[in-house]
Amino acid sequence: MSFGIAHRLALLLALFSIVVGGITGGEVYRSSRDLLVEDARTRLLTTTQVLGRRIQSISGSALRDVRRIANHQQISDLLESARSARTDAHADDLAAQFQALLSVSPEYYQVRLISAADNGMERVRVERANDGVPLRVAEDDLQEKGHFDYVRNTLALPVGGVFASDVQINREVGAHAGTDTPTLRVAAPVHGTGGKVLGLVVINLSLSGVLQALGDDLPTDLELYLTDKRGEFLVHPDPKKTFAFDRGQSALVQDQFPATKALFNGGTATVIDTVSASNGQARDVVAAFARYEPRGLSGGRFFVIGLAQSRADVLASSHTLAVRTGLVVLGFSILALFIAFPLAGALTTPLRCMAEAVGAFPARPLGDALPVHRDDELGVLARGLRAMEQSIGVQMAEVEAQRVKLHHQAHHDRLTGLPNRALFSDRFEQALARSRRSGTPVALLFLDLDGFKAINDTWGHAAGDLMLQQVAQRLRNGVREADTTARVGGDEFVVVIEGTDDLEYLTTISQKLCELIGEPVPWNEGMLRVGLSIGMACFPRDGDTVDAITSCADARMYRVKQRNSTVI
Amino acid sequence: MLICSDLRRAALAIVCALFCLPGVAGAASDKVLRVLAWPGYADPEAVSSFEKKTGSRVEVTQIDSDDVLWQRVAANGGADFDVFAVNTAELARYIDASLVAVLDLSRIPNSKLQLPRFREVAKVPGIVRRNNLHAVPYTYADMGLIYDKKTFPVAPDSIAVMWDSRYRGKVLAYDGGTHNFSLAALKNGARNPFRIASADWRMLSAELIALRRNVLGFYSQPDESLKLYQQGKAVLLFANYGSQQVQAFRNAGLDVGYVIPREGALAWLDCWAIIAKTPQRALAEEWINHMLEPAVSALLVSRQGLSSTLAVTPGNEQALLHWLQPPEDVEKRSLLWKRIISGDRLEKVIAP
Repeated sequence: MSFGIAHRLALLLALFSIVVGGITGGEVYRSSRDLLVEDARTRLLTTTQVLGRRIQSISGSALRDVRRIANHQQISDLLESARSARTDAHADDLAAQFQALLSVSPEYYQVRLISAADNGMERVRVERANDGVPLRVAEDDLQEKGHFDYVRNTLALPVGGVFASDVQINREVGAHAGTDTPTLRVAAPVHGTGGKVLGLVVINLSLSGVLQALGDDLPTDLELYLTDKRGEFLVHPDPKKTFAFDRGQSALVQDQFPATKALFNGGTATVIDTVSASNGQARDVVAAFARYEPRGLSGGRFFVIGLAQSRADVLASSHTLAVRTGLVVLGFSILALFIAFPLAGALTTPLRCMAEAVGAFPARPLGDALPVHRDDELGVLARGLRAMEQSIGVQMAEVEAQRVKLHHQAHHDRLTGLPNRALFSDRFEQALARSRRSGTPVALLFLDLDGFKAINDTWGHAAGDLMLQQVAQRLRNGVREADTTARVGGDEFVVVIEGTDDLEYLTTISQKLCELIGEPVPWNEGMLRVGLSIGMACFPRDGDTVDAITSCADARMYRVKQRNSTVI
Repeated sequence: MLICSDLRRAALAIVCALFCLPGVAGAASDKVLRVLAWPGYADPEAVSSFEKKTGSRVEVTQIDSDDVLWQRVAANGGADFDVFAVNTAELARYIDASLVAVLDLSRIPNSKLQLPRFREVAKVPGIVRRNNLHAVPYTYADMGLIYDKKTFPVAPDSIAVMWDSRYRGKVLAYDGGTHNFSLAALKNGARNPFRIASADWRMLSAELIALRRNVLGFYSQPDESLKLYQQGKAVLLFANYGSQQVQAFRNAGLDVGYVIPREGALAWLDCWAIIAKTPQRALAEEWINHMLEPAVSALLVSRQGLSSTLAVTPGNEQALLHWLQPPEDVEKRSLLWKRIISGDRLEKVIAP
């Protein structure tokens, strides 16, 4: 019982709960990771869309502003007429308007009126000073801009047209806060009477300002990407990748995130679990990229905005979860171990008790060891055992009775009920043994019926049998109860008398027996008579073994019979 | 696997250490030549023929800007490479830093096959210092004028055509102060456009403002120049990228000609230089000699659209080329140019 069913059952139970706990924990962990990734995708795409709409709304308001200003009557008057106090007043008025516009639009850093004449000379220019305050640029500092494509392209537009540039780094010196800033230029032509183009109004938007504000709202582990319609990065966490084209290099989103190629073939939004291949290092990221076309811009310009988060960061919280799940699983496993052993014990203790009781049966009755009052299978088993015990008891009693009967039959004469020769030998041997120990003598009477053969022959065996039964009965009555009377042959009997070898006493008994036997026995209105010849022998006088004494008594009986006397 | 291969490598190293006695060292594949060059300079075909010829192995590293070239060579005092390609204007700082070896042309016999203007090394500025030769010319590109053949039935012969008001708004120039001041100097008859006298700054700035007023625009990148040329219907362009640009324009279906004006053209000239500390000096000299094999140098022309120093480019036989040199004051040219392109007036441009 070193590793019994209880242990095995307990281990099995514990193992089972550990396995179930482990599988459940693993499943919870895996699905929670999937959920985290799914959640990150949704979050990234939503944030991307918010950023995109913000850019759209900012560029949309720039378009409205530039159109509104270009349609101003004062402006065409200012550009068309020769310089005068009136046009100077217009210019002051316009500068004040520009300053007001800059004050309310943090993304704008420069608003200008440029003349088509004089090599694209600036007429009014207001821009943000380095401290952010709107400032009107002095007349001496105004510059010629005719060689820039935004001037040329805008002047070529029809009435009501609007131009938006690609996003470029502003290299124009003297632009104060806007110098070297990623810039989106939005411009509208100014037309005079008769449709002649007189100049243009330009608003410069600081893209970095816009995106800085957007990026500042984002969690720090998110990477913000913005590209132009070629895929060149305008915003990238790595400054070396930002505006690479401005340095004569190229850094394309399609190279870093190959899945974004679809966006440049007309796709709108995409969510990708992808590899970010950057600086020769590939890492798994969850990313969302979306394409935005600011409304009303010429030239099919669009931006691609993207947010990416390292997959490891997305899944960071799942590590805590993993640890917690692990602890819970471990805790439940330990609990399972603690529960499993008593539980297995509770189940196997009654079994063991029953097993012990059955082991001790039949030496000890099953008795109270059986839990016969239980309602469960153990109770059924116990009741079954009890029924079996009772059934075995009945059968054992029958077998014992049978055995006693067989034993009696083996040692007694069937006709007379007297002990037979075998039992006589045994009893006589025991008597001799007692005698040897106690020193008291033992006597043996050997009896043979006279005239018995004649009865058989004359009256038949039934008469003979009756005679023998009568003889046996009379012999039993004629001796002490302690003395053994046995039938050792057809009409031969012996009587063992312990405690005496007194001849006188023995002779008295013999005569008494002869008288008893000599009494006639009625049979079919007649009388049956037999005589009795007795030979006596004593221990230790006449021998010291059963056979010696028996032979001696037999021989003496034989001599008596020859002399026709009764006893020797 | 990693550990395994590391172990194997370590074992190999030990075995080598045990058996590679001085006389045995230098089995064919152990000779490695580390080459640092611009894309296209070390053609794979030329590399493999060199490896076959010398029984060595060549490791080519490519760079794409002068700054990266300097960083790569200067790192570790030049210990990372054996031979590299550098242009004449850049070479000076490598000589200053003692990073490049003095060369002996007799060990590079193919140099005899070069055109006279490259063979006479003393006439090539920047590669000889104190009678020591530091680099061997390899390939070059000149910056002439691309012109529309319909507008110019006869090729314009002077740089001054860019200032010609008849082509106002039809001229494209390059957005770079260093070259533009050299260009203005050439227009004004300077013999060395890389040395501007202090008295000339005002006049040259005025020239460039005049140019600004005459152009359609200024470009930075080759593809940008093609786009501007087509969109703005330009007829004349200063080809800062030389024959590569001509090729691109013709591939785009434009009927253009290319000319080097009589004032001459700016031209960059890339040379091979050997790292002073190289342990493979003889192999590096062999490499340069191999690059000057006619068949190898011809690949520059046929595959890269560059010019070889061995063969005459048709039409350029007598052309005057001004090999780029470090200008007298890069910062000043850059500052003034920034002001000019921003649209400032002359007084603002030349203000201190």
